[in-house]
Amino acid sequence: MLKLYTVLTLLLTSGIIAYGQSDTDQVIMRAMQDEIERNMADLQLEDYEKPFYVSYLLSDLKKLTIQATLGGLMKSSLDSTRSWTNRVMVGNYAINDEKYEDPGINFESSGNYFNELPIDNNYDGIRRVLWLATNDVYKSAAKLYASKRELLDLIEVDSLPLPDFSKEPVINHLNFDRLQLPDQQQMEAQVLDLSQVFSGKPNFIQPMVSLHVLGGLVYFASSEETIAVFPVQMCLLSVNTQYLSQNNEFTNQSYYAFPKPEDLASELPALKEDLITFRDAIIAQDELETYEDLYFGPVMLKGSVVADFFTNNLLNRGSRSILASPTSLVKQETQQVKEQLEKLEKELTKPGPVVAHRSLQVRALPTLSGYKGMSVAGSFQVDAEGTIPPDTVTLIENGKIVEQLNGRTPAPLAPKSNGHMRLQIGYGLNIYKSLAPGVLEIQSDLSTAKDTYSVLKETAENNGLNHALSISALPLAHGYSTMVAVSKLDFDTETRTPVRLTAINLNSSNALMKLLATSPNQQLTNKLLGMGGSGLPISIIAPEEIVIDGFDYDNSPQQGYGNRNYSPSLPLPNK
Amino acid sequence: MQQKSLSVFTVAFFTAILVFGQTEDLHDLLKGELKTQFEELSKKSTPAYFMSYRVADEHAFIAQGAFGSLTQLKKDEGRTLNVDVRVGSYEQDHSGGASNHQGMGGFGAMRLPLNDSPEAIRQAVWLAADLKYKTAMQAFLMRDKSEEQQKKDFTRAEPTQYLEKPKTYQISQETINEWSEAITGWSSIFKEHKDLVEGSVSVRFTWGTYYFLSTEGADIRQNQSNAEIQIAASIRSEDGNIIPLHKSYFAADLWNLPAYEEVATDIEEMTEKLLQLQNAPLAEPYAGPAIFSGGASGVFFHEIFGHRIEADRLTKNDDAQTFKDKIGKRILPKFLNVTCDPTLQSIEGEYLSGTYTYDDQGVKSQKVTLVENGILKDFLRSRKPLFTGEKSNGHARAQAGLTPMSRQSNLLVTSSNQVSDEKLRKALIKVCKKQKREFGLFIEQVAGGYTMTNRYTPNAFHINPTVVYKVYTDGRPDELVRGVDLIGTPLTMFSEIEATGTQRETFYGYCGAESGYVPVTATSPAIFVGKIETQKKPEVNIDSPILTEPN
Repeated sequence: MLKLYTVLTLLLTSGIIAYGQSDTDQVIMRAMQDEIERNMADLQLEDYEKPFYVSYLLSDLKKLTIQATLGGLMKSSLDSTRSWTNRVMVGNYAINDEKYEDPGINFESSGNYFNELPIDNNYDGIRRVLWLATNDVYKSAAKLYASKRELLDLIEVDSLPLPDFSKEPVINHLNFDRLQLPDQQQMEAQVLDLSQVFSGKPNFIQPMVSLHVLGGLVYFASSEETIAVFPVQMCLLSVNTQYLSQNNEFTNQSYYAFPKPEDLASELPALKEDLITFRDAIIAQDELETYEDLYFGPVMLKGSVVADFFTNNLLNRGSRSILASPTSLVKQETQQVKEQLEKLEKELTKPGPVVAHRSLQVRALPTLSGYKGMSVAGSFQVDAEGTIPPDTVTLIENGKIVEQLNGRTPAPLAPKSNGHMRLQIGYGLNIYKSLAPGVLEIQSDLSTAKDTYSVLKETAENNGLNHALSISALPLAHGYSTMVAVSKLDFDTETRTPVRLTAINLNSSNALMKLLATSPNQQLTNKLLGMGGSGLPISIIAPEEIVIDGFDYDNSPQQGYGNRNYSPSLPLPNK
Repeated sequence: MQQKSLSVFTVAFFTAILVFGQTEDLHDLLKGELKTQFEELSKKSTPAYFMSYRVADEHAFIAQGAFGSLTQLKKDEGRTLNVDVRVGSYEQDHSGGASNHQGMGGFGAMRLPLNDSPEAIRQAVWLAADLKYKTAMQAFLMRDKSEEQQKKDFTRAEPTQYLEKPKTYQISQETINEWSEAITGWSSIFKEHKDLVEGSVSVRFTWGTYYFLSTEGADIRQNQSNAEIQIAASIRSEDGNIIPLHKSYFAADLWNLPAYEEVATDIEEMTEKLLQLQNAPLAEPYAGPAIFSGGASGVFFHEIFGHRIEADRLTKNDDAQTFKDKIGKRILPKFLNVTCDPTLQSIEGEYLSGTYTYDDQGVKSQKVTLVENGILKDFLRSRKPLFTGEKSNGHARAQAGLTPMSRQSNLLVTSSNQVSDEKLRKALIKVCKKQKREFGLFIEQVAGGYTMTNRYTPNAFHINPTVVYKVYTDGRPDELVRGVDLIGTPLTMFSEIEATGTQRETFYGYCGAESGYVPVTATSPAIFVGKIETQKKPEVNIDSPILTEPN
């Protein structure tokens, strides 16, 4: 009784009670704030500096997972988990313990091996976890900062080319709009029904229909007095299947859709059409002739293949990516440290690199929630560092990177945060931070020139080809698939013949330079970065069609997609 | 390196409703598919001669808490299929000779749906069997069939029909609430002691229906359940070392676990013991006489003796085969007898968790006399014979999804040289005095251990004592010490066992080896060993947190 009284007193005096707050919200926020206050005031190792920044990111999530294959329920679980990360910095915004590596300093643990957050609203229990977590991070941070200062003093440097941590506006963002998960039994019935789309089709091997509905709140509090509470929700329907072709070749194919969680009961039946299209396209592909020639020439991309092309080539290119990659100072001999700093100074004076065709413009639109009547799965309001992203960030202008997506750790092309340190949720509902886009808009003024077919034909003919290839996404009403349809466009006969390619690789270091044409119409593709239930939803607004040059196709079956031969010893069941 | 380990685990009690009845569909489907597939595979140019399906239909309820908070609450369920397809003949099959024992493994495990969907089940069974046949067929084709073979690769089992009615439990919200309350209540006791770095309580109740069907006519369906409470706490000593203690309670189900008060009292005692250990001196390495409590002795026999009489391992050329040629010879003192008995439900009213009716190769479980008057009589056998003419004695065991091999069940050590605890203690002091030692050791509690049986590493064991006392010869009170690890080699240790006590204790655990984790027990009286060797535990130096615990 005494304990209850104490907690209530703390809550009533907190001054942060807002509309929509539950007891859970109040206990969590109060525990976070109290522990920040205590640590900022008292946490200090002898002979080391106190922390100048402490923050906690804590999630309170529920996840419904249902998996079914061929009418068989493989999994149905409702998990409830709390997870946390914390950040403790010693020093100041200009120079602190981060962006620094000293191999002699290891992370220290206070023995909190079992530091799991309570799933009940136990104020003391939550504080206990935060207390130990803060202690451990601080100890390493204090020692790293002392080492860094000593190194910089040795080379008589009192400021760095870029600050270690960017100062951002303090926010007070409270949104307690927690998603109510749908009824588990009802969803089981619907997923089972969807899984039966593959019934009676024995060549589909373990076609797994998975529904992941995740909802809950994320709480962020920092010693800068930023408080953010925001809902996270993800609703993903996926199908992963293997298909054993007539030639005894196994291929893997996937389908994804992001139905609105609040309308699941009505949206799931509608997705059945997509699954039937997906299923039939895979079967139809089995009937197609394989394209036997080698090919080097232009290719037309249509539908979500365009989004895949841009995502892969914009994000996975190291320093030429639209994602910032802040560099760390490494403890070495003094001369080498000076060289590191000089290199960084030089990078700051360099303009952004040209990474794409000069016609290409790329913008981040992280807060865009709807596009042409569709929901935008990658949209978010606050990032995992408590920063509200601007509505628009121009990333590539005339093919050149002008800014990179970043959080609060400055990099040459992103000295300030643009709020893109996104919250990512793992399979076990653990949370972590990941630099990633939410919504990208890709435009090109090549669309104002010729139509895409004419450019394709003209380029092919200039290369001495009488045909060209076109790669299209499946025409799905609601979702996205890795399954594509390839056509051979014969210019002599003006015919389009569906063919099979053994592998498709559209990625290369200069792929974005090969852009020849884009259609004027833009389309939205919602997709996942990463795998299944732990992936990060992103949205790409890109031209419906593009033409790129220099597509290099080798019909070797070893390439791409993991195709493999398998000759069953037993007849396929369920025939 | 093969490492077998025994770790402490635990269980729970309270209300829930036992529910009987489940459709027969899974069973019927499996039966039909087995027949169809075997007809097909036995016609191949490299034919299958045996097939079996093993299905574990398992459920779990898990709750965990620490320092008065609830940290985990979940229910889980899953069905796992294991298909065995054997190619060749009983005399010579794909599993190979001594160098290829694990040829039995490979593919063959698959998840099955939770409901009895015929199409989904058929496809999973098809895929598992197809993959398994291919693995077996390729291994058989690659095998050198001209090698001299004195014994069969696989023995026949009697066709058996044993069908228990599938049994399941409904864990109601009321039960969940009761357990949540118990866990937070128990774990909040740890909050009173600020130096504790861990203070957790977990409850785990697992139950399942286990199927075994074979082309020899085995048609087995049996139920099993296990409930456990585990208490785990650790304290930071002055020098920063972390000192752990564990306690477990096992029962067949939630309703037979100890009452709240009993566990709460034990937690109080555990924290008291931890506080004593916190200030206890670190023990120096020691070689000399010692007494093992019954529980500690159980672990000792499980590790040092038990893993060396599991016959499957002895068929491998890289195993040290400590006892392979010792049948009929003395391996333990004359006054010791050892049995392994999976048919034993309880001992003196105490539940045993290593009990089962049929093993995981469809063989009826049976009591095996391993050692009689110190003479080795038998091994724990699966259907892979160690010697010509042998048959399984029902000890093939495996975790769901893994390939069975011979494992322990309920190991029981008895003695004809029993003396009272007081006499055992006097014997220890007498030997110490004779050897001019200031003290001997009493090993009261252990957390588990491991042993290595291959011939490429020292054939040693390691036991992890948690509560150890120095017993002084000059009448001083016993002194609690910490940081002791018990090490040694088996044959030397066996020759040093001199007497046993009268009180039996049972150690419960999940034993981990090549075929996964299986529940086992080891019951033994206290033993007096003429010479043991200990070494210092590895140090885990962890500073105290800078700030005190909030509130």
